[in-house]
Order: sequence, then structure tokens, then C-alpha cells
Amino acid sequence: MKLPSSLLPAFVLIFLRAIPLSAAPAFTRGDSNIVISNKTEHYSFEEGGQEHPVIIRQEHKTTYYCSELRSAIPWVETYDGESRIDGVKIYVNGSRDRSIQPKDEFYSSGDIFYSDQRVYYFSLPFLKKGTSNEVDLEKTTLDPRYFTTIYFPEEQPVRQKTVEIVVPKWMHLEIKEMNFPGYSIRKTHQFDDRKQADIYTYVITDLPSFRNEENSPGPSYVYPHLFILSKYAELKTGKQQYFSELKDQYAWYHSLVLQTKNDPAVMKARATEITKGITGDLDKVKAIYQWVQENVRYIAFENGMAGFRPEKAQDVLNKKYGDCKGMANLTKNLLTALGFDARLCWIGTDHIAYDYSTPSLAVDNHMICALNYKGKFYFLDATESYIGFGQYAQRIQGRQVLIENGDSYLLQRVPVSGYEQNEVHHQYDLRIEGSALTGQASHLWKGENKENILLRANAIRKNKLEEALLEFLSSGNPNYVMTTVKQDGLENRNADLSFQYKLVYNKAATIFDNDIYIDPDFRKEFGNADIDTTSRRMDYLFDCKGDWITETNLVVPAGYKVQDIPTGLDIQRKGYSFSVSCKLEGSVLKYRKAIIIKDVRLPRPGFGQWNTDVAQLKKTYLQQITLTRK
Amino acid sequence: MKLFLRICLLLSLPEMIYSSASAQADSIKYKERAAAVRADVWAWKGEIFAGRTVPAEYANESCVIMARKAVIEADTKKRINWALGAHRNFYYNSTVREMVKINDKASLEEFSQLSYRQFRKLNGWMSATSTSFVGARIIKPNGTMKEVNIDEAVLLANGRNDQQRKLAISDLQVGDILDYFVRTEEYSEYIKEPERLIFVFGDDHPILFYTLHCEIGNKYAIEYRSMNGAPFAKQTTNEDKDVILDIGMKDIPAAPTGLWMASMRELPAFRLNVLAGGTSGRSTGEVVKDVPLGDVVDRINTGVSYPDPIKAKLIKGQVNDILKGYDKHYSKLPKDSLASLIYYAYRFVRYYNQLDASLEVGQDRNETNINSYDYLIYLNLLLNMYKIDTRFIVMPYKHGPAIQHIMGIGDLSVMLRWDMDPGQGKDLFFTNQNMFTSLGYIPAGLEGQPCPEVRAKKYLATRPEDDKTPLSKASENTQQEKLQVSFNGTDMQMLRVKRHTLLTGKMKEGEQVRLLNFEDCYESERNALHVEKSIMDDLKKARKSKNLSEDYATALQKARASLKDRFKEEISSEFDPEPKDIIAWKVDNPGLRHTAPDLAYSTEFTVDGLIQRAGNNFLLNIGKVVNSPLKLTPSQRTRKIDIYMSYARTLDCTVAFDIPQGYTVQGVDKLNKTLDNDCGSVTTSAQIQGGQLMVHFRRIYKHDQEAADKWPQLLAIIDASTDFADQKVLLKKG
Repeated sequence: MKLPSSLLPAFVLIFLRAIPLSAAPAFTRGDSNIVISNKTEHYSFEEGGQEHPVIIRQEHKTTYYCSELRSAIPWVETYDGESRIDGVKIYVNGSRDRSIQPKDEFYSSGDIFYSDQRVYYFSLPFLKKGTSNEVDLEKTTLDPRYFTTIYFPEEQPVRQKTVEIVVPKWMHLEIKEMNFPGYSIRKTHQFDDRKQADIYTYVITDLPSFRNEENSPGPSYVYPHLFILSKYAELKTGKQQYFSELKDQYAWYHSLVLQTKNDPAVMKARATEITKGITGDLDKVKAIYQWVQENVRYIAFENGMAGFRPEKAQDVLNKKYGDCKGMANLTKNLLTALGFDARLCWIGTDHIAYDYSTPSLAVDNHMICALNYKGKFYFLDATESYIGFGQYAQRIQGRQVLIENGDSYLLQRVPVSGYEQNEVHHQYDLRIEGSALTGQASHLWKGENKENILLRANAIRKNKLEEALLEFLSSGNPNYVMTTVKQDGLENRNADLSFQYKLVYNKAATIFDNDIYIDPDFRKEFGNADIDTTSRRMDYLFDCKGDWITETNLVVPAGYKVQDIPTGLDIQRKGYSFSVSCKLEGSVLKYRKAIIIKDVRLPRPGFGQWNTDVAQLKKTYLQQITLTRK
Repeated sequence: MKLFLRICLLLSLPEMIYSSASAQADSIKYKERAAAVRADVWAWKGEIFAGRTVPAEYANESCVIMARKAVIEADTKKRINWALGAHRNFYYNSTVREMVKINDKASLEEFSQLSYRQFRKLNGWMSATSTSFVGARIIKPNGTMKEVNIDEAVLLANGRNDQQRKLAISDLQVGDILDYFVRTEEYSEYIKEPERLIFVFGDDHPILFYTLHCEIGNKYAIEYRSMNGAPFAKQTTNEDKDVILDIGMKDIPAAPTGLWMASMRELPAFRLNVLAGGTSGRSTGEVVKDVPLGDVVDRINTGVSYPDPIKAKLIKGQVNDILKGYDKHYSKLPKDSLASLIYYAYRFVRYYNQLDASLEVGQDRNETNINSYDYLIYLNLLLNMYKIDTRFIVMPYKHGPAIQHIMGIGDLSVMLRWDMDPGQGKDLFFTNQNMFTSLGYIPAGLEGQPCPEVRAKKYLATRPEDDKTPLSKASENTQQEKLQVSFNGTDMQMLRVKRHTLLTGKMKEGEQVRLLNFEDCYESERNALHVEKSIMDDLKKARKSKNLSEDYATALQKARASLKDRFKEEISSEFDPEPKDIIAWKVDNPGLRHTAPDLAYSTEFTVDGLIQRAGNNFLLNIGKVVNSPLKLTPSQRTRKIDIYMSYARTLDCTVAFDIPQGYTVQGVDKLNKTLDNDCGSVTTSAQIQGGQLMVHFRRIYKHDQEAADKWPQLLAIIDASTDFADQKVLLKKG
């Protein structure tokens, strides 16, 4: 779905790397060299014309200071069909610089096939240490619905920033202050009698820059910002309704959905063809869901109002590609053609901190399909190409979902799955033959861990797939020799993925005199998962919950006894646990390791404990079994 | 995958196919022209686009190129330009049509989008434009055919001079055949720059049919050749006296790619230069098959014969100042010493004593490379001025087209050679790799290559054409490691490594760029040349550059601060697992000069994961301390093509491991092994000496190139290294 442009500054970091600046000095970003010594942002709600009854005028004045050495920074502003840039003035070292020619291009990113977002950018040079530059921006947002957030941080550290919002009496909105604790932010509010407007002023000092860290929560969880909820405007021409309540937002969404004219006859024909020979209701649903996953390529389109309106189901069917709305709409229409009660749903993934208690376009970023079957809702997200029916990706689990219900709506939550949904299980039954371990091995992947493997497997050319899978199973170790490999689930999203094979693991036993040394764990998940606490600033988000289990059963050869085994490990934390045990049962040594990630979010204060625990795990991994001749 | 980019790669154009559009272009006319182009291309006759069946041997391929046809048309006939009306000017069209059977999702993804630049203005006026047209259609397994609606393409750039589009190929599924093309039509009022094309008859997918058809008008000149086993082109003329070239191949298996390969020497290819007659050393209408080497070298003559006199004067002045400052009587120095002095003074002027506005003094500065012709032409002038009779020699790149397949200046690099003692075979080479290139150094990519001599204004092979640049031996390109390893204090599972590294010959090429600090090198060279004032001195002195001087000092500080990360990167590239903490790092000798040519540096770091506890005992993975071997995939273990490595080389590693008190070492005897064959050798030995476990590992790759049938022997060397990496010793308590 379309992102409101006010959200974009947090993401343009990626784009900045692509700006060519051959003649400019080297870039600096986010370090202490270039800082924003002062910035004022003025926002004013004003009456517009017939097409845009209420507009928001922005005036930004930014003063940059070069504190260490001459450099250049990329200056970027985004806009789209619902906003425009009215003017930019650039001052370099005190003088207006008209030689800098901003570029104006479509925003492009690897993930998005097409977006109507445009980037207006240039390189701002700092001639020498100690100089200041200024950039003045005038911009207009044409519809308050698209004016959703004002983020305080910038690409550079900010010494002082003043944000002033002028809200006339006729404009009814709510300003929510998000993530303020820990920052120096002073707020004042006054009513301007002359303008008949409320003026909200925020003065922020000493603000660190935006930061791009992998596996981080979305910016709305992290950075101080204002969340603007425009409810309605009482204009001379009458009341202009925005999103006072969720029903207003739904009504607007629903009106856009109604503009999409689907062809039931085409849907009926294709749905019948897909489910030919299938009798069970849920089997039909699975067949439809899998067909869309398998045959429709996900391509992200973000195009003005079309960013909120699904493409016609028959067009998606014909083209075999679509964005999330197109895929959800096709899934829905194929199901309804078979008589099922299927509906479109709007949802904000876990990248977004808000929910529908605050009606706004910033609340959601995705569309899926819901199936109402025998009083229970099942959610179908065909953009997750390889997940099974009834399984949910971490990004939508527990999220509020706005379900279409004619003129009204339903608000539910996507079920939260336990870590068991994504289990990974390795089982080895081995004996020692010389310096080799031989026996049977089996592996099982479920849920999102399975989906991840299927995703990667399908990206590999089929003539390379077998080699890639064997390399994956052996961790690239040429001594790990597999024969009679059987797999199941590689072509079936609704089954677990499993491999079984005979294993000869050469050189896995190290023999010295009367002793044999064996490493019982060949995969050692999370052994190097410690977090660099010196550089990381944000909480860490694991990709998904899950449990990783390894069981190695080793037959102690006749004439040998167990001399030493790895000491056990049992670490139980709120969000995760590590446990390792090794014991002799009869003539079989049983090694078992279970790593469980119960909560995907590891808060920053927990990094120290996590690192200590990972160090313990690693020490355990570096212990060997010792067998000695009796 | 961006199909347009793919087309460019197929053509291997030295310059990208110009495309895109003028914003003023009439879209209706464009659409009309696009429809005509589609009708034209889809109507191409011939069997190659008729096939629908994939041969059984390719059934498991990700996709199969059922047919590929490229058409190159260049003429100056009067014609109606769709945008500009009637003109007699230069037209250059290239069309590549490809029919691909999609067999899996990887290929579906690869071919699912088509990106192209629809219009582009090639100059400031409308006197040169490039316009691209695309077409795509899907052939379903049941034989039905459906044309993709090109109007569905979205606009990515809509500038006045540049219009780019992207098309998602609709209704494309696994099992379909995608039939698509890209045509680029270039128009110019004036004679345009030459096109130089390489058509490689190989792809990472099998190709059933590949044909090339060229129609080149008689206002152009043409050079062409087939190489590496490609068939010869059939040359004819048509009634307009256009030159027609046709060439094709069938059943081309997927080309091997990856390890130690030189595509330009191993894959069949056809090379074609379409030149502007009369301006490129060829007259209009001239057709040259198998361009003689002398023709290419003659073009170099022109380049090296006319240095810019103003630049020459400036450089001469700067170099002479240094020479005088070094030794008032420098001109009386023995010739070899004078040559050396001139070389290093010149290098200092061109690479070191320069300051640009970007203040780049970090690793990027180390990567700076001045064009070799530009660099050597002025060096040659200087040397000749002092009666040092250097000559230009040219040579192909080791991994580029072979000398007999040279088609242009870009295929050749250049050096200066000084026959120090005529008749005695005592040559001294002057080369230009980067700021660290020392006197006499032959870059890895240029060694062992035929090197005809270029005489100013005239190519004269005064020495035999089979003269070659020297080829280094494995003993000259060495990585010598001395590791002092112990437990990290009381932590029995963490190793502390003190490492001294010496890189000789070609082995130092990459690491000099990564590890050397510009400021240190600058000061080292400044002192060696007795240059009194540094750049900083001059900057500080001049009032107007005071700020620049401060900025420069800050930039130098930042560059020095980055060294730790650069050393960490280097250690990580050599050791598996990666280092934990970097404790110390230091360059002992930068290897800037031929008198002390080796790069030497010391590092100290900790690493874990190489010691495993077993009750009271410990297993030390000594093999991994010593080397991190090359990992081969199963399919790489068989090989039918020749092996092109960078150079012969030796890794020589000595480890001294401090045996902790109260422990003995078992398994030492297993570490003594030797393997020696035609391609290389691996020798390992170990012993206990004075409380230390001493391990020595030496691996030699004897040659830079091996014939394909030698692969098993090379494999044996790799395997022996891998085996050693698995070796462990036991530290036994008591």
C-alpha cells in the first residue's frame, strides 16, 4: 500500500546512496561533521479550493553547520500526487546559491515496482570548516488525510528545532505526542485571537540523527514524533469530514473498494477450474490460496489514489501479477465465486506502532483477505508466497485487522502463533565407524522457517537446486556425505518441509590413542548471535519466533565408555531460552539442544544478558564428547 | 532482472546502448513507429524462432534460450525519421530478439520485468537521439500466443532528455516461452562515435540458435573477427553495396562461469567494430577482417606521440625541482640510479603531491588510478630527456582478449621498457598500477603477455613479436605468515594471536591499497626524495588556504582512525572464524620502492571457536589457525575448461603455539605430510620445541595458468589444503 509521504524521510536513507555526485566532496551523514544548528518547521492549516478544501502549508528553514571539515550532504524532500514543493532556496556560506540545480525524479527502490512518490534532491556543499548553509523549503500538502506525522529527528544531529503548528478553530484534529520520553522536548500552546487559531509549539534540543539498523522496530516505535489525526473541518462551504472515527476511515476505504468492478463470471470460471475434483470446503480454500500464491507475482505499485484501490480481480488474474491489494482482491473474488464469505482486510504490519484506535492512513500499510468460515475468520495473505493456510507471518500476527462488512466494518486481530509454529528439528541417530559418524539424519522445518527455505529454494535455478540443498544440509562441509536423500514439502506450502538421508560424516570423530572425541552438534544455531552493544542503539527484532531443536543419539561403541560429556545448559529468560543436555541411556548417548525464541523483540536493556547467555551457549557448543577405551 | 540491461550484456557494448527520449517527442508518432518495429521484428523469417520443444538434455535447465538473433544496421541513406522528417544522416540500429523457455521460478523472476530507456538525447540539440522500442509476447504450452501490452509500462523518469520505462511482463508463467526484443535506433546529423561490439556465443543458459546479421552502409568502416573457436562470418554485399555479415551457432551449452576463468579467452565470440569512416584510421567503406595488430598499435602511436606541451612543461618543472633538491648533481648519477630517482620523483608529483577538493586521503585515495597512457607519456619524456632510452610496449590483459584477437586500444595496456644494456637482455620496466607501483614492477594482470614495441609515430616490431613481459614464479609471490599463538590469559577457549605478515610480489597488490595510510606513505616518499615542504606547509602558509589546511588535517586524522577497521577486514579475509578483538596493528614496511619492495605488517588479535573442551583436555583446530582453504562446490570438482589464475604463488605459514603448563600435545605426527605434483605442492610439518608446538604449512600454486586436463592435480592441492584445515591436536592434561 501507499505510504504517506510524511513517513518517507525515515526511509530515504536507502535512496541517498544512489545519488550521483561525482564532482562533490565526499558525503558525510549522521556523524558529527555536519549538524543542524537550528531548524524551524512551520505548519499551517488553511482553507483551499473546491478540489482541496483544506491544505497544509509548510515552511522549513534549516541551518546546517560544518564543524570538522569541508564536505557535502544530500538534501532530499519527497512529495507525491497529494503534495507539492512550492519552492526551495539554498544559501551556501551566507549567500544565495542559484548554481545548485535540484533534481526531481521518481522515487525508486528495489522493493517497489512503481511509486508516484518523487524525490527532490541536491548535494549541499560546505565550503570549509566553520561555515553554515541554509535551505528554505515551502511545501503544500493537499489533503489532511495524507498529513499524518511530523518526525523530529533528521539525517543530521539537531542542536535545536522548533516545530510550530497553526490550527484554525475550524479545523478539528488531535495531535498525539509519540516517543517523547528520553528527549529534550518543550511544548507550549497558545490561542492566537487574531488568527483564531491554536498554535502548538515544540522546541527540541540535542536530537540524534536517524539511524539505519538491521532488524529494528519501525520508526514510529522509536523516534519522537507527532501523530496528526485530522478529524473534520468546519468550513464556510460546509463540513469536510476526514477521519473522526474509524467508521470514517472505513467509509473512505470502502468507497474506493466499491470503485473496483470485478467480473464474477471470470472468477467463477477460474475458481471452478482451480478446485476441480476437490470436495472439502477448506481444501478448496487451500487450493485457491495456493493458486494465487503460486501463480501471481507480487509487484508493489504505489500510485496516488490507486495506492488504496485494489486492481480488478480479472485484471490481476490476466496479468499474473499484482500488489497486496490486487492479490487480496483476487483471492477474495475467487473464494466468493465459490460461495465462500471472503472479505478484504486492511492491516498495519508490525512495522507500525499504531492501531485503529487512532484512525489515520498511517495506521495500515497492507491488505489481506479474510475468510469467514463457520464463524471463524481465517486470514489469507498471498504476498507471503510460501506460507501455509492457517499460518501467519510474524509481521501480521496479533495485529488489528479492519475487515470489510458492507457499510460497516469488523475489527479483529490476526491470531498470535506460538513459537511452535516455526519449529526446526534436527535428528541424528549415529554410530562411530573409524573416524566417521554414520547413520540416519532427518530435518524438519515448519512455518516461517520453512517459508524462508522455500523462498530461497525457489530463487535458485532448478539445475542448481539439488546442489544448493545438499550444500545447505551439509553446511558446505565436504566431509558430510548424504545418500538416499528424501524430501517432502518443497512443493507443498501446506506441509512441513522435511529431509531424511543416510549420513556418513567423515572425520567427525577425532581419535587420539584410546580416546575418541565427538562434536554432537553440527549446526550450532545462535552461537555467534551476540550483539555489538557499542554500536547498536535500537531494540533487536528477530525475524520470527521459533524453536530450534537438535537431538543426536550416538551409540557408544563396544569396548568404550563415556569419559566426558558436555555440561548441560539451562537458561530461561522471559523472551527466550537455551537448554542443552547430554546423558547416557543404556549404550546410547543422548544430546538434546533446544533454543526457543518466545518474543521476537529483544529490548536494548536486555542486550547484556543476551550476550552473556550467548557466550554460555557458545562455550557449551565448544565442548566435546569423550569416549575412552575400557 | 532488467531485460534491457540483459540485452546490453548480450551485446557487451563498451558503452551502454543509449536510449531514452526527448520529452517533446510526439507520443503518437512514437507509438506508430513502435507498432511498425514490432510488426517488422515479429515478421522475421527463418527456422530459429519456429522451435517450441526443449531438447531432453536441457529439460532440467532453469531456462533455455530457444533462439537469439541480433541485427546491427548502420547506414547513411536518406529516410524519414519518425520524429524529424526526412534527413540524410547517420543511422545506427541494434535489435536483439530472444525467445526463452521459462522452466522455473528463478527464471520467471529473471525475465518478469523489462526496463528500458525509451528516449535519450545524445547531445544538447536534437541532432542526435536514441530511441528504444520493445516488444514481448508469451507463447503458452498449448501453442497460443499473446502479445504483452507495452502501454502497461510505467514511467520511471520523464525528463526532457531522458525517459525511462519499466514493464511487468503480464501473464508470464513457468512453462511459457517469452519472445521479446529491444531495438535501439540512433540518429545523428553528424558522424557518430564508433560502436565496438562483442557477441559472445555463450550464456549461463543453453542457447539452441544464435545468429547475428549485420548490414553496414558504405559510409562506415568495418573491422571484424571471430575468436576462440567461433565460426567465421559470411561476408556479402547487397545491391546498395552495404556490407552484409552473417554468423551463427547452434546448440551452445550453458557456459561455465566462476572460478579461475577467462571468458574472453575461452568462450567463442565475434567482434565487430563499426567505425566512422575517415575519422578512425579507416576510410569509408573499408572492411577489414582480422585486424592486424599493427593497425591497432599504429593508433596508439598517435596517442603517445603528442603529449600536451603545457602539461609537460609543468610536470617537468615540478620533477626537476625535486631532482635538484635531492642532489644538485643528479644528472651525473649513474643512469640506473637516475632512472630510479626520476621515476619516484615523477610518481610523487602525479600521485602523492596532489590535493583535490574532496580531501580524499583514505582508502579511496589509495585506489586512485591515473590513465596509463597519460601517466607514461610524460614519464617517457622525462626519462628520454636524460638519455634514458625507454620505449613504449603494449600488451593484452591476462584475462582479456589474446594478442591475436586484439581489436582496439582498449584491449591493450602499456608500459615503458628500458633496455639497460643492449643485447644483454637486461630490461627495466616502468608501469602504472597505482601510487604504490615501484620501479620495475609488472602488475599481475599484465605479466607473461606478448609485448610488441611501439615507436613514436610508427609501429616497429624491432624485437620479436613473441617477446613477452616477464612471468613471475611462485617463489616471488609469497604470503609469509608468522603466528605466535597462545591462550588469551586464563580463557582456555580464546586464542591470542600475534601475527607478522610479509607479502612479496603480486601478493601485495590488494593489501597495499587496503592497509596503507596515505599520510604515512606521503611522508615516507617526501623524506626519501628530500622534499622539504609538505602540502600542509604550503597550505598553512597561504592565508587563503588556512581553512583548507585545517580540513586536511581533520581528514588525515579520520583516515588514520579508519585503519583499525581496514586491518580487521584484512584479518577476517584470512581467518575463519573472524577475529574477536583487534588489539594491535602496524605497517612495518609499506613496500613502496623496489629497494624494499615487500609489504610487511604486524597484527595482534583474539579469536574464539578454534579450541574445544573435552573434559580436562582441549582440542586445538590447528589446521584452521594455519589456513582457510578454498571451498569448492561439488559441480566445481569437474572441469573441462582451462584454468586462469591471477599468478603463481606461495603461502608459507609458521605457527608457534605456547603449550600451556601442565599439558602435553598429542597428534603432532599426523601433521607431517607432503604432496607435490605438476601444479603445486602442500608441505606440512610439526614438532614440539621448547614448550611450543611449531607447525609449518606451505602451499604452492606453481603456475598462473593450467590446462583443463591438469585440474585433477590442482584439485589434489586444494583438497590437501582442505584436509589440513581439519587437523586437530589434543592438549592433554597431566
